[in-house]
Amino acid sequence: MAEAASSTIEKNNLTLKSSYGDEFVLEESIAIQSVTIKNMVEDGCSSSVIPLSKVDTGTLIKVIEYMKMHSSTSSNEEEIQNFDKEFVRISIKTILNILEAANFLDIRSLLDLCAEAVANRIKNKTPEVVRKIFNITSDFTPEEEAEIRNETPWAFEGDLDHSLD
Amino acid sequence: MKQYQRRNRSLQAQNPRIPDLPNEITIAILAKLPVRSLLRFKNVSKQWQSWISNPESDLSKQRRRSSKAIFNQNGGSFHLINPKEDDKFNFQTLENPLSESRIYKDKYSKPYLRLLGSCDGLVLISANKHIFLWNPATRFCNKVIELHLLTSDEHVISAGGLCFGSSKNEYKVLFYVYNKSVCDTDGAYALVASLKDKKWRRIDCPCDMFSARDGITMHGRLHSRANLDNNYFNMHENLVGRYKDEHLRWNPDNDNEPMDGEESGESKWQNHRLFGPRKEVICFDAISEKFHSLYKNDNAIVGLGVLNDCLCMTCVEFDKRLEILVMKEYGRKDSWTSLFVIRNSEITRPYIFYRSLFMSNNGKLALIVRHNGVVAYYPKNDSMQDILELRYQNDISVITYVESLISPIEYYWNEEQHIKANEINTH
Repeated sequence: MAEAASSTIEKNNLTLKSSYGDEFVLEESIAIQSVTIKNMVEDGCSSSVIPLSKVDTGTLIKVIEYMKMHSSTSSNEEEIQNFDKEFVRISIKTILNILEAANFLDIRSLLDLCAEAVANRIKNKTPEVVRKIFNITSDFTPEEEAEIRNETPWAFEGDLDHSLD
Repeated sequence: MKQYQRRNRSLQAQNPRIPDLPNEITIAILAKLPVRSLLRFKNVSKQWQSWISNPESDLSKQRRRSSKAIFNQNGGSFHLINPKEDDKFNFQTLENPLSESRIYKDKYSKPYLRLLGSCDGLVLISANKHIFLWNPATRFCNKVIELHLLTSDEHVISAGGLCFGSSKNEYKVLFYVYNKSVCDTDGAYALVASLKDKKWRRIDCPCDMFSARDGITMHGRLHSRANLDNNYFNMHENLVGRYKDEHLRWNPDNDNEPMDGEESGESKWQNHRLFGPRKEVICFDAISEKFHSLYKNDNAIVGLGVLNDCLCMTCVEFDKRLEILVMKEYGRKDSWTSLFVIRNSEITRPYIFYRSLFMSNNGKLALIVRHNGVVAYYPKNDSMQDILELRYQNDISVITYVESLISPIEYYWNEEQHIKANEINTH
């Protein structure tokens, strides 16, 4: 899966650098799906390496995988749909990391895909589990929590999902 | 150049760090959740609760979908009209809101239910003298105030609804009231109450109470169509004794427009106080408690509604055509723009009301309520289709409604605390 960044092909390449210092060479035409990178290219700041200090290597590899698939002219709609479906079969935490990167890189379609995936995964979960996933500490008193529950008891009934992932 | 110098620790990280998500990402995720999940996740933190419950939050704005309508007939159960993607409408009977109400759980076997107004996804309904705030999305419903006039035989509430004053963060109810047996200005007035202090007050109003119709809330303000207060009581004699059925009180139009003979000609219609044209769109500002005019014209305004998030009105030229206009820029009188003209021959008198409720997102059809039912209108080929036919003509209450997840808990009615404050002198 090494990037065939052969210098004989006349394509503009960009180098993206993860927070761990790993560098990835990518065709400009693929990389500019990221509005952030596109703006950098247009402003002429992309001659050297583009440092992505908030994106770790694992996340960057996933993002590049996504951008490559979505800029490929050889794949049809169905293939892309299947790819997207498989793409989000990862832990919720990993998706949240990709979301953070997609937000920084400004890749709208990736943001939507991941937001939808997280929503699907958490929709039946309990507030307690959701707090853990999002690393949130409750600032309610037990009485306040009970009051919210009593407003709409039907939203708290039924089989809820207690798993963290 | 080094490429893909993978480091194992980063690729197969067993425990990816929990990212510090910017709020807009969390909100983007929440925007994709169904109502039931959001109501549960209000319990996650105060921040989440505020995003979910506040109608002005970015989350609420992202979730805001197309308008829906709620209607009821003959005091019966409430139904939702929901626009679907494929240019069709979906009807859904809503669960009786009073069965969920904490205070009045078993008190009413079958009260006469009225739709009084809607603001921010909250619906104002009444059962006898009791007035409730109801959120159909969360199924939350609670008594907030009462008004004995609602069960009075003499008083008619011609229009009114719910509005919101953002500066004080309070909901107010406004009713246009007249007494059909009193022949002076004392018998006609506007009544307003804040749902916080629950005190009914009479306020000065520039319009003729008999003529006020509709109650459309936008930007927290309540909009009605009416005539200004000239020739105030010249039609009074026609009114006395016309109202017999108690159900007429909320819908004074529930009467037969003169149809046959010379008397039903244009001039008769133009001058007819009850069925004749309304020429002004007035709005009530909940903060200042002042009335403003948003439109004045010789056109007869036969209905107010909301189309494409704009205030809209239906105007009619006598026996000619109906025109739907929208106020493109809210508050700017010169921004009223014609959206489409209905020439369809199925549009006939009586023009008691022709309210446009909402339009599908693609603009292909509008939902219009008239005296004998609800129709879908297709502007492209000027055709219409009956969606709902009424068994009893004119006996329909309809409001436009946009979903929200507010819980109006701070407006509870406390029997001991509020019963005194609520009394007003009603003659």
